Parts: sequence; C-alpha cells; structure tokens
Amino acid sequence: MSFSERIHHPATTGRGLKVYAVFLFAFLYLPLAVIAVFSVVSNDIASLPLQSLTGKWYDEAFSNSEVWSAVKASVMVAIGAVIIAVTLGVPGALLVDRYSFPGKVVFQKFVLLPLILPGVITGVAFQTFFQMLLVPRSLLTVTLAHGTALVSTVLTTVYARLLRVDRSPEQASLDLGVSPFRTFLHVTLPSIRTAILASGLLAFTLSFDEIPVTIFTIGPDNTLPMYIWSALRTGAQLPELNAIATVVVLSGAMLVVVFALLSREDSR
Amino acid sequence: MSDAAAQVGLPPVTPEEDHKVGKGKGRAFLGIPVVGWMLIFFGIPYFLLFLQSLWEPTAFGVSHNWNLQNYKLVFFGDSLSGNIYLPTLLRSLKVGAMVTVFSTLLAFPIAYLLAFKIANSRTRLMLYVLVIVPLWASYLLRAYAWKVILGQNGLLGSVLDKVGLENTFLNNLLYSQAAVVITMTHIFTPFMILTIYAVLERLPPSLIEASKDLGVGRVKTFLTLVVPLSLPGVIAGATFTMGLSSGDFVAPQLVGGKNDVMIANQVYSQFGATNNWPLGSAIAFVLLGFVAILVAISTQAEKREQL
Repeated sequence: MSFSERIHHPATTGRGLKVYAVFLFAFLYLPLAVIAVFSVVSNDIASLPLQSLTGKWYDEAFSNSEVWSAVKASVMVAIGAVIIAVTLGVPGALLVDRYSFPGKVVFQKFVLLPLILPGVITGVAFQTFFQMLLVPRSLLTVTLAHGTALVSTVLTTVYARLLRVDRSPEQASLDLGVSPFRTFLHVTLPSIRTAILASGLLAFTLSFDEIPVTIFTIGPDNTLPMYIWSALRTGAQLPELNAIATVVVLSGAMLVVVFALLSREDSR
Repeated sequence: MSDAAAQVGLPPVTPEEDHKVGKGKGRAFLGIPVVGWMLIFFGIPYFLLFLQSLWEPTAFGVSHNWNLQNYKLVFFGDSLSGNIYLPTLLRSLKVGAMVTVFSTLLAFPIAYLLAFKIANSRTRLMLYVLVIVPLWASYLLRAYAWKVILGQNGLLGSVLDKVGLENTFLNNLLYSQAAVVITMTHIFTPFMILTIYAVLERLPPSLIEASKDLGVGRVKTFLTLVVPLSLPGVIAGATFTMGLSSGDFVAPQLVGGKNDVMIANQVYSQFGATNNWPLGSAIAFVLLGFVAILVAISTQAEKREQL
C-alpha cells in the first residue's frame, strides 16, 4: 500500500458499510463452507439435518486411484504450462515495457486476448489446430494450450510491476559499463522476482482449475477438473467430491496467502 | 497492494504516467520468441477456426466449400428447426448483463470500504486476502457448491422446509436462469471488487477530505467525486465480467435448466455430440465478434473518462 499514512476519520468509518461487508463475505464464503461441512458428515446428500462426523469421504477420495492420477495429470500440466508462460511472459513484459517496435500496439492487444475471450473460443481454436495438424490430443496438447493462454497472465502481472520499478539503478549499472545481460541478472531481475513468482503461482492455479480449454484439447487422460466435471454429469460420488473440493480450495487458499504477501513485498 | 489489477491478471488500469518507455537499443530481438510463439500457437489456431467457419459439414468431416452458410444459420436459422442460435446469444447477453450489474453493485461498497474506510493496514490486508481467496477458488467447485445449495433436496430447500416454508420458488432454484445468475454473480463479485479497488486505492484520500472541507456533503462527494473517478475500474471490470460470463458454459451446464443453455454450450455441443465443427466455429466467431464490440465500446468509454 503506497499510502500507509492515509488520513482516516473515525467519525465516518461507516458502520452500515461494515454490516454490509459481513453479509457480502458471508455470501462469498457460505458456498465454500457448505462444501467443507458436508465433507466431514456422513450425509449422502447435502441436506439437513447433519448426521454424525466422519472421515470416510476423505478416505474414499484418497484411496481412489482415478483421483490420484487426475491430480498427477493436473499438476504435470500446470507445471508445464507455468514453464511455458513464464519463459515467454517475462521477456514479453520486458519487451512491451522497454522497447518500441512496429506492431507493438497490435501485439499488446493480441497477447491479452486470452484474458478477455471466453475460454470456449480458445478451446475450440486449439481443438481445430491440433486436428488439422493431425496431432493426437493428450496432456501435452493441454499443456501447450494452457501455457500459451497463460502467457498473458504472466505478462500483465510482470508488466504491472515493471511500471513501478525505479529505472535509475539499471541506468546507473549500464552507464558504469556493466553488460546488459549482467545488469538484467543483478539489477532488473531482483526487482521483479516476486512478481514473476506471484504470476507463476497465479498461472499454476488457473491451469490447475481449467475446464473450457482443457475439455477441447484433452485426450484419454483426466485432469482433476475434468474428473470432477464428468463425476458431476453422471451424478455419482458426490460426498467424495466434497472432500476433494475442500482439499483443493484449502490448498488454493494457502497459495493465495503466499501470493498476496509476495505481491505486497517490494511493491510499496 | 498496488498490483491489485494484476492480481486478477488484468493490465494496470491506471498506468504510471511518468514511466518512460525505453528506446529500443537493438535488444528487441529478445521479443522474437514470444511474438513468434504467440503467432504460431495462438494466431494460427484462431485463423484456422475462422477458415473452418466458412466450410461445410459433411457426414465424414468438412468439405472445403467456401461460403457464409454457417453464419446465415446462426443469425437467421433455417426452415427445419427455426432460429435457435440468435435467441440463445441474446439470452447469454442478458444473463451476462445481469451478472455484470449485480456483481458491480455488490462489489462497489466493499472496494470503497477497503480503499477509504479501513485505517489499520493489517485489517486491510486481511480483508484483501479474504477477497482474493474466493477469487482464486476453483470456478468449477464454486459452481458445484451452488448446485449443492440450490438443489431440490439441497441445503436451501431443507432449511426452508424446516422453518415451514415449503414449495416457495426458493425451494427449487436449481436448473433455472436465476441459479445461473446467482452462481456467476458469486463467481465474478470478488473480481469486480479487485478491479474497482485497484482504481480507488490510487485516489488520494486528501481529495475526498478537501471536498468535505469545502462543505460538500458525504453523499454528494461520493456521487460527484468517488463514483466518476472509479469509472475506469468499473468499466474494465464490467467488460471482463460481461465477456466472460456471457461466454461461459460451465455454470449453465451445472446449475442451469434445459432452456437456459447459453451460446458457449452450443459451441461445446457442435464440437462434441453434434459434431458440426464448421457451425461451431461460426458460433464461436459470432461470440468473438460480440466480445470485440464490447472491448471497443469500453475502450472508447475509458478514453472519454481520461479526458
């Protein structure tokens, strides 16, 4: 927060606003809480009254080999996608921030398309692409599609940080005759390190959770969202899904806290 | 928390004005991989999708017989099944518009609270994290949670039964347009909070103090100062919410009814069960055209705001 010395008048702290905030956060969290509660009670269907506490849904979820292979597939895809997105997104952010080149405005708009376009369009575009090239769909094609779409996420996060970085140390380093490469490594990179980490985390989460692009690019394997998606459509094993959902949301929440602290650091 | 917009993967709403764009010193070749990759793996798929929308479906695949038949079908329907695509598109836009309006209204007070009314920076960070946790929580699982809550034997119904309210419309909300709107509003509200907050946090509080010191009332200050200044954030967030919610198929599929299918569901079925890729491509491109118009309008609106 850049203005930590903000002036606040206790007289106008807005009690109404705070009451409203309680209700809004209840609205935001209630659905997540419902899932968590029903993951630890023995109800088959999520309705009242609550029955006895149980850990059996977690046992079932954890002993389900399909769930494990789906988790493994999701993690592999997400790691691959992050590697692609960061490798291309960071130079992309530097390019947009530092250089003018012909077609820059077009490139800037073009690269942001995956952020605003509904995933279904990107999904069918990739399905068409792989079909025409006769590339069989697999986790590899999913990774490629995710990675490409997530370049925009990394690019914007790192670019937002670059906009706030003081350029004078970099200039000083270059003026002192340090090579551009070493300047980047020792001056520029440290100042955007946390933004790169944060954007990588964001990209990981987005890929881990992805449905609309995955559904059109996946082969015989299942990622975790695809497993949940098919389970929901057949209506089977719902209490088990509550357990899986709770674990996914809680681990996501932990990543978010790390992410929030990361992006706060050195951006003030 | 100055990267609030970036935290949702958005470009900064109000770029630093004093930031100098460096003069390219011939090292722009660093950009060749990213530009090249995006052209090959992003440009070409979209281009192929467009070409495909101009072809004809056959029993075994497609025939490369160039025409606008698919687009004609999307906009005007045919004598066989009437017009099913345009009404679906309009319905999707209506759902998207409702989601956008509701989530903006729900989000604004929280963004305002975060930006101006929380004196303690720890409390602010805590609230901020409380906003981004649901934002990051799985889209699919949040839709699933609403399925659990709104279902016929679901939580809301069983609570209402307990208190003696049986057979109200609330007891059986699942598989309705209302369920789709509720679910998506829940999904997009944290996103709207962050985009609006990203703008509000940059307004110096002294500006508002000054307005009050000049004897302008609280309500008037809010309406004539805070709201207009927040518009870039509202416009940016609303554009994304409108585009993404109108083009979603996950929530309609999970919590919507048979009559609530949206345009993206039709793309999905053309590329799946119905297996008419050329028509699916045309529908996808119509959706893309709509998003393009939306972005053009919002770019204009933002420009006007900056003047």
